[in-house]
Amino acid sequence: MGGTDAKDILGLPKTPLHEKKARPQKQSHRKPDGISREVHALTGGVAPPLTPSIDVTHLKRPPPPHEKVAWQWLPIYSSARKDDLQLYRWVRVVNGVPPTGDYSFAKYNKSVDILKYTDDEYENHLTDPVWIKEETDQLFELCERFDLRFTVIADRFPLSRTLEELKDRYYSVTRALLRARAQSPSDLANHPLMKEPYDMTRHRERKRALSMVLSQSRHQEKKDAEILAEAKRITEIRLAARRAADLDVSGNENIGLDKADGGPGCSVSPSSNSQLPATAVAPSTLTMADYASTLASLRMVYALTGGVAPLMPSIDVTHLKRPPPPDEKVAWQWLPVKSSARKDDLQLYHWVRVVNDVPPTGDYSFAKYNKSVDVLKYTDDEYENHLTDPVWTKEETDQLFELCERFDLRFTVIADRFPLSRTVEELKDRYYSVTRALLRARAQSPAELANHPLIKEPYDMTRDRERKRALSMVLSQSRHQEKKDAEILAEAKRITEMRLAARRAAEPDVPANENIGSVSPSSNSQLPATAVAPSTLTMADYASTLASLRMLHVYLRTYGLEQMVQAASSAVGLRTIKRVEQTLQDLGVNLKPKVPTKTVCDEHLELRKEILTLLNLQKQLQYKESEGSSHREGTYAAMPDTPKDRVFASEPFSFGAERPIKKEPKRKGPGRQSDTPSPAHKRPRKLKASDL
Amino acid sequence: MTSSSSSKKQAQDPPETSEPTLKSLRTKMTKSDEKKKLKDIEISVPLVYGNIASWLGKKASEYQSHKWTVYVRGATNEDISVVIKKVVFQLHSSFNNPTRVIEEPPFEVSESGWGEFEIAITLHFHSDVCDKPLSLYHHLKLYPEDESGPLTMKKPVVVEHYDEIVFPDPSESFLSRVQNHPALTFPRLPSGYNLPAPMQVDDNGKKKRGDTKDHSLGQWFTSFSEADELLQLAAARQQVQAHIAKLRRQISLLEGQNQTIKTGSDP
Repeated sequence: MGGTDAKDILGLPKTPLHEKKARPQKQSHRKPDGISREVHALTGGVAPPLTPSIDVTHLKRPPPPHEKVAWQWLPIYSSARKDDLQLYRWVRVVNGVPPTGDYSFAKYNKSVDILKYTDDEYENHLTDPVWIKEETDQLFELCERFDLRFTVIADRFPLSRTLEELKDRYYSVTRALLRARAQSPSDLANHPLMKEPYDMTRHRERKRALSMVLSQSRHQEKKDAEILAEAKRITEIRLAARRAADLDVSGNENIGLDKADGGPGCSVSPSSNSQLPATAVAPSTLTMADYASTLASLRMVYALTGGVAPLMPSIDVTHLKRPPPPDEKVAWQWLPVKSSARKDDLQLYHWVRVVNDVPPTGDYSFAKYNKSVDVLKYTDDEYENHLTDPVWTKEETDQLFELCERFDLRFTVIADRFPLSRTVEELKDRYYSVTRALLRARAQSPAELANHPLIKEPYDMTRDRERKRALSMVLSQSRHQEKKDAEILAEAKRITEMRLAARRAAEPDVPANENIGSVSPSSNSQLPATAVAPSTLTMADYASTLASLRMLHVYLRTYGLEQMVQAASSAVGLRTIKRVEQTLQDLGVNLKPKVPTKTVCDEHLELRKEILTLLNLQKQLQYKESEGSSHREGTYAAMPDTPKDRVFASEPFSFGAERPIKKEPKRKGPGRQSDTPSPAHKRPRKLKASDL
Repeated sequence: MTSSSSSKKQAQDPPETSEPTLKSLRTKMTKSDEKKKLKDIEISVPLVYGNIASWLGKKASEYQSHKWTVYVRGATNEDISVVIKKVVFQLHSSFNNPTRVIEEPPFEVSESGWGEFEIAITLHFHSDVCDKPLSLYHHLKLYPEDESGPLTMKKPVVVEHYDEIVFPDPSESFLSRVQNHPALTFPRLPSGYNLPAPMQVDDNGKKKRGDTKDHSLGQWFTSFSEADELLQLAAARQQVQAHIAKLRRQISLLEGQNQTIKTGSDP
């Protein structure tokens, strides 16, 4: 904090009252008391501790002074223990009086009332095909002992029974006993075992489903979530459909009823109305809901495939599944194959589908793929005459052609086999140039050649090389570079779009503006044509300046104005800028507004733009005048490029009472007519016209 | 022999605007963009910054001839601390602790000295407003323009500048916090755009008032009004537009003349 000295001197308060705003940010970093710094940092430094359930103040309270606390090693007496085991522990003794009462944890020793059955009861009610009496007895003993902790019971049970089976047996026995012993059915109705009987299959299912859910992979979890969402959507659709149908049907039923009844006329009794919608709703909503659910399930399936529609299978599936016609007898035989593709006599065999003992005729079905290229062969004479090359010897060329013939122009293989080390591009280049030269030499007329693909698009080695280099560059880009490239492309796209938009936006504006000064429509149509093109560029410039200002997130309005002014003047010459400023001064306007509010700045910009327009028009006027005068002299002056910003140093005109049409000399040079160039500039076309 | 244009490109012919004076390019772009983006709104905070210096008269020494205050205030003397968290004034290195950080309004530094120098004023905003600071520069003025006149203790030298801070894309939290605050111009939101209600800051009693309406030097504050400037600009634009119209008429006339001549001279 700086300035404490100054504050001292000036007597200003030292403690800033303004810190409050900063505080909320700080609080997470301040560690609470009572825990060490390291521990607090471990919690991430932010999480406040849960409110302790123990009242801390209670613990920290010093003991009341009149109490004398001592700790003694005393025996405990617990009602929970049935045996006589004597245990000792530390006991807090206050004023020499040990605490009375039971061992404080004894109250947790609950036990379950297990029903005990007599043998008679067993015979009468409890027999079971799967369970014998001994087992049931053992089960009950264990239940008693372990207080229905079935996991332990299942572990201890001598025979291997599942937990569900044990539960089932226990609960069904107990239920049967209760029923048998009950005086009246109403006693039983409220017994929990009766109200909700144990259902073994249900529990088994439940456990199985639970274990499945718990062992799901993350992928499956997502799928399940989707399906659930889908189901929810379907139910919502049904609800909505039902509600919609309610509204609809009640409206539609008037028509139906009229037709059906025919008698009572248009007014239908409300009671029948209320009936029909009820019945009509159900089917209509069902259809809608069915439709919706079919859609939904289709969507689900679609989503399962990753959301890409399957391609139409090229094999007609129905065709495959069709059973063979009954009259055909199909057998498969191991037969020799004759292929036209093979030049040697190697005899190969394969399984052939023989129908009605007639083996298939025709060539081996894959023989048609054995295409080869017609590689031209040249004679030695031809070589001497047309095909010599500084880099390639005849032997090399011969070898190349041999390989080409042999490998059907598979240049990667050829390059590999070529005895000398040449790149693929070089080989290709040589082959194609030789072939082209041969074709040209052998052709009867040029017309033949013109359509030959090798002539139409000749192989260009350098281009091919470049292409491969660029491709490898693109493919080997790191992800970072890919992103950069994508960004740049997107940026370029945005800029072009902005320009397009600006152009389109500018166009409707310009015709609307031509009402100033009631100018005749013919001239209107001409001027906008010339004015639109440059104006769109300006709009795009403004747009990009605005965009760059936005990037700053904060800026001063004067700065913003400067940027916009610069954007506008970036495309015009320095002299024009000066003239604009001069004009502003003449008009009595500050070059930089003293009170730059938004409206003021916008007005300022508009004014500048209008001045530019004005200056432009001035130039145009002069041009037209010079054109006119040159025409009057009887020559058709060729139109050179209009140097719009180059003017005959036409002076700024005064905005006083006088509005001169011809420019009066004000500052630059002595008086002169508008069509005489000042000597400082290069010769304009005026001279040319007058020269001629 | 063909004339060659001298180096520069073609001059632009920007479109004329005949709309009422309040519309501008910026609003035009905004309107067309409004369909695409909801947030083409900006908040502007009008500021005045500058200094007031008075001669110390009899008590003036060689090194302490004037006492001066350099400050940043809201243009309407409202409390700008709603936007500005702190202001850092960087004084001349000969001063003790030349970096003065002022964290609460009024954002000003008062000192005494003898020399004029440039002061860098950096505005730091609250975190929900903007992370980047903004810098202004002010040349400290102690001596009046009229150099010949005697120094007087009565009338201080006042130099103030008006400017506005523009936030081109304010965050929602910022917007909701400052709605209806007098210190800044809140934009008109597009219809249907609802802002959350601002949180009630309930420390009216504790915080000092941050506005400068009752400032000790308040009598010297300049009151900036855009009305004059607007009038000026409007008048200028009218003149220019009239002139443009006239020129256009002339051009069309000439156009017609040239056409007849051209058709006449064709073989």
